[in-house]
Amino acid sequence: MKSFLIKFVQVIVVLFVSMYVLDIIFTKIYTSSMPRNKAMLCLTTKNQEFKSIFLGSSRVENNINARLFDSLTDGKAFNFGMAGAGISESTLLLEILLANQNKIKNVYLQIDHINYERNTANEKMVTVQFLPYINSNTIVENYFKKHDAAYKYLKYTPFYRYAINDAKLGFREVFNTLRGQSLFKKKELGYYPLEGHKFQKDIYPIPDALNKQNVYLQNFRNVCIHNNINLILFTGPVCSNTTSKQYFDELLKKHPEIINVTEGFSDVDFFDCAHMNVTGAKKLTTQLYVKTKP
Amino acid sequence: MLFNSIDFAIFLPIVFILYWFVANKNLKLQNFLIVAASYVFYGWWDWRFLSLIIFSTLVDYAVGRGLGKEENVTKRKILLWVSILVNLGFLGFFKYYNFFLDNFIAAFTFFGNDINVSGLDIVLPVGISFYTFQTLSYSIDVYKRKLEPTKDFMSFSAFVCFFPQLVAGPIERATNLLPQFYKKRTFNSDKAIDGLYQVIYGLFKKVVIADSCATFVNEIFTNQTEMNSLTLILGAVYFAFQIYCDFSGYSDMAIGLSKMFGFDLMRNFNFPYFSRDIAEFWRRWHISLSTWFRDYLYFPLGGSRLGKWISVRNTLIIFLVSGFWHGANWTYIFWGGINALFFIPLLITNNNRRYVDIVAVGSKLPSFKELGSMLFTFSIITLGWVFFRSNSVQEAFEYLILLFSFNFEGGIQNVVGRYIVELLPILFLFIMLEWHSRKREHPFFGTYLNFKLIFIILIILLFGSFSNPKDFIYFQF
Repeated sequence: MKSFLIKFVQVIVVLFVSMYVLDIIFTKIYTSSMPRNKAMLCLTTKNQEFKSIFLGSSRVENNINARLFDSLTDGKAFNFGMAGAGISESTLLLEILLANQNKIKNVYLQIDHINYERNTANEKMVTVQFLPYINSNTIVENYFKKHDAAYKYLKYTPFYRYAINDAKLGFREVFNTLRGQSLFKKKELGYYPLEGHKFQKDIYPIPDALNKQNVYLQNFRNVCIHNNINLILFTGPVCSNTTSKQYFDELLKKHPEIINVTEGFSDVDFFDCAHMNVTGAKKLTTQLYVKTKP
Repeated sequence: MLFNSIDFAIFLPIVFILYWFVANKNLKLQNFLIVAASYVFYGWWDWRFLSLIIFSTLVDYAVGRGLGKEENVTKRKILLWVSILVNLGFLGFFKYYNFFLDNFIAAFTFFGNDINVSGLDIVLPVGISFYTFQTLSYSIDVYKRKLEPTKDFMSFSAFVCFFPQLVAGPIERATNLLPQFYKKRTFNSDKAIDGLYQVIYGLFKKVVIADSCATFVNEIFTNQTEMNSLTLILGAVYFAFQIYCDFSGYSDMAIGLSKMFGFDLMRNFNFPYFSRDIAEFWRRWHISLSTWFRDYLYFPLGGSRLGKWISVRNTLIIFLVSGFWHGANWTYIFWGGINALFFIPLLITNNNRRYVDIVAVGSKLPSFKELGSMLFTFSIITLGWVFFRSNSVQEAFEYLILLFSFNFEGGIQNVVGRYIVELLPILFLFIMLEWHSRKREHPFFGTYLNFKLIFIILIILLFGSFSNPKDFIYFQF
């Protein structure tokens, strides 16, 4: 029994030492390399002045041409939209930017049938990108402490967060981060253009009824108020092949402060039912500028 | 609970400590702990499944006791048939009811008659294909007087439900495993350490090779009409490695865990992809099942004693039944048939036992002829796997037609946002490891043992697929 236990302990020691060393290596690479994604970008963006930033899901990332907006407003703009980001995740991004002493004059937040209906936080495809910083950034740490049941494992078990999210934070991602391969278009100021059309045959579903209340929207507002940021809420278009657009009427009725940018588009402006192509994004961005003129 | 899960990582040390530090004083206590732990393990999936395995245990124990007392030939046959009907009845109902119903309806519809019968929403109990065959082997061996029936119900229960091999084999013979429950197990460090190494190697196969291949395989097979021939070839090859590493990985963990508890299970895989022909492949792949069919179906049908053509018929039956055992779908029957198609010519020409030794024994590398034979055998096996993996026979044929269209337009394709060739270095490493250890059960031996161990642990951490743990393929059988 003794020799078996010794061997077993050796294996466990090798395992934990490996996890510890790999955790240090992975974290060092993620936190020291050129930003590969917008999470890393916002964590490393410091002491910048932005006239306008855009927050939201892929319907912001693919729909708002920040370079165009930048030229129209004659002030620095950046598209921090992230695929899958809800209002909670957008709040996290904003808080990190502000904590890094960045000055922001206007924040554009898209409100739509996806994020308004979501009353849950910690959308994994977004927040996983912040995990390398859980031990070095208080805001990230507090976010996971509040929203993730596995927080203790993520924080205190070496390498656990990388292993359990191997598809998003594993060896491939580390390798691509070392290569300096970026997932966002820095030249386009965070806007990710989509070319052409990729229409789905099925009808794009939109909820019939509006959520009573989104629990994260007021929190987002409070962050803006507290930091003297001008908050502009807007809602963007969807294609014609949907169940009903009554949802947007209800949304605008309930929140008249939301700028309506859903009209004046045809199906040729869309890449798929929820996302604009290059032409559509240009139209949408121009319309948004005209209606808000920051 | 899966072997590669947190639940099992907590379950195992508790059972291990209780087994060797509390229950080791007493044989009955040891066996009782095995039964209790095994029922917890099995009930973790669905506690309702326990009723089936307990019932099956009771029936076969009673049948065994009856056969031990009964000398009348007819009554002995009746007892045997009770065991066969109960076990195969469970299997038939849970696994094949809807298949037979759907085909019955299809046949009636084909002849212009409509039948309005809806199938049942049946949940397939995990491991039913394995433990029913295991208990059947007991009844049959007792009937043939190859084995004395046991009076020890606790030992018999432990034999039926032994958790390391309960849900996906190896399908143990009572003649091998049951006697091990009659003697108190004493701890053997060397065996336990060897078992630990085998568990680690099995884990490597599952989380690094099998689950990584699965990511690509699922995408390629789901979107096969959008793939070029190169991608489809790689998809088939990846599936060949997925199913091998998934199943043999599980077997390694089962055998390794058993060694840690003082038991010796039969070997289930013997490096089948190094086979030089398909006959050799079938002596090295899922050995516990193929020998079960040989002993309990092939031989009773006459085996090869009644002439060449009876032997061919029996072989064909075995392959078709073996295919059908895997699942209620024509694809499995086709897969069995394809293997029979390549096996039978070897049988007819008396070349089915050409290769009984280890390939390239005494050499570090295979000869060109051996390499060619292995690659050819691997290719035909992989073509058969396309049927095994596809959802329907039609889809399998479509896959193969597209594959053999030799359309390489677009070159290396991206699948799930990743280059499909990125797995190849890992597969190459794996093949080297297997080749290096082809005379043994795992690669942890020799001068560089500790280095290999550290290396494999690092590989598991770096390349293991933990974010989307996949069930073992054979759990669905």
